[in-house]
Amino acid sequence: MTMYAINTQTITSDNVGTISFTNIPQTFQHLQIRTNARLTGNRGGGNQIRAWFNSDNTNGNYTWHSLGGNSASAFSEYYSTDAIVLSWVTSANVATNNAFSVGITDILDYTNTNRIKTSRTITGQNMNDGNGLVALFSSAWNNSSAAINRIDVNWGGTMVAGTRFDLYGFNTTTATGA
Amino acid sequence: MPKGMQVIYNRKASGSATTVTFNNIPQNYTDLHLYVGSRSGAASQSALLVTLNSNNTNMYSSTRLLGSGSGASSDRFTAQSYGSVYNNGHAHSTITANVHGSSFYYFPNYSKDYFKSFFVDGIQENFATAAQLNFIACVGQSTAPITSISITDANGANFTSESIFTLYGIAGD
Repeated sequence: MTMYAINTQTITSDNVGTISFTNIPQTFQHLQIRTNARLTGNRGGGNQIRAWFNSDNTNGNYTWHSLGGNSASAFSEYYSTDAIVLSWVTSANVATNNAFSVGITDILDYTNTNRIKTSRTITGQNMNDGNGLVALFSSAWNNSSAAINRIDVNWGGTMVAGTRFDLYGFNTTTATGA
Repeated sequence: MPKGMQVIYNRKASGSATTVTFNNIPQNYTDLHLYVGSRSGAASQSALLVTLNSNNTNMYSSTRLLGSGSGASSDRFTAQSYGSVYNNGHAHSTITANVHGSSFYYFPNYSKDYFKSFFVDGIQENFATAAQLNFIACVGQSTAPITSISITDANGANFTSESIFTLYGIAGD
């Protein structure tokens, strides 16, 4: 088998704060985070779930670009910021009850100490009110010398119970070829 | 038959190679998934090109959705001698040092006698406005099972030594 579950964090009651994946094993080749999320409250449709590495959420140490669609047009954007993007996120005032957003984030070669850590996210949310968002995100942490051993996830609001974050590792030990 | 997702090959670039090839791909999976984290020695925007079974006839076509950090566009390439023309999820030497692109290729039904349709998404991050993000749908008009896949730098430049290529096989019951 190649894909291993490292940890799952499920929000069990409406919660404000941050969840963390700590002591991430250094034995995999790649990481993947799967996000299924929803916010409470009166928030707009363009909110994001974000994450930072190794406790570094310094503004300007991260960048992200997007290629997306908002049900009316396509767009591409750039931001210098303090975290990577894991997912769009639905919120209670604009999305049908029980509708969660979806995101899949891959981080290649996360233990390599000679390269900037980049991530790729595919995410979408359908608000079921005539609006939705879908996008490809690229993000990067401007640190090439540290392996990723911790990921903190923050949503800047109150997350609905049932929101879930799964961290997987992909190994290379079952290779059948050279 | 193996089940689930398994590594077939995992390879770091030599630092001088302009093409990375996976030969003798086992035929006992359902789909293939290729992860590429790459940077080119080229001093300008390059791209990743795919060759299936060493076939460089003009059998490939692709449709692309492209983002630049400031705008989105779409284009199409037909009768090409390489597949996924052009996946820009590939860093080069004039963007932020040590940044590598990330690309994800999905080859469904690779061992069957259909035309070879595949899908790619790729990103090239940069600590500046200009970057590259793309989705690409491709088809190679050959019914031959895929036994080899080559990834080539479009500018004929080298892949840096930290570039990584991981080929997975996926199989169900």
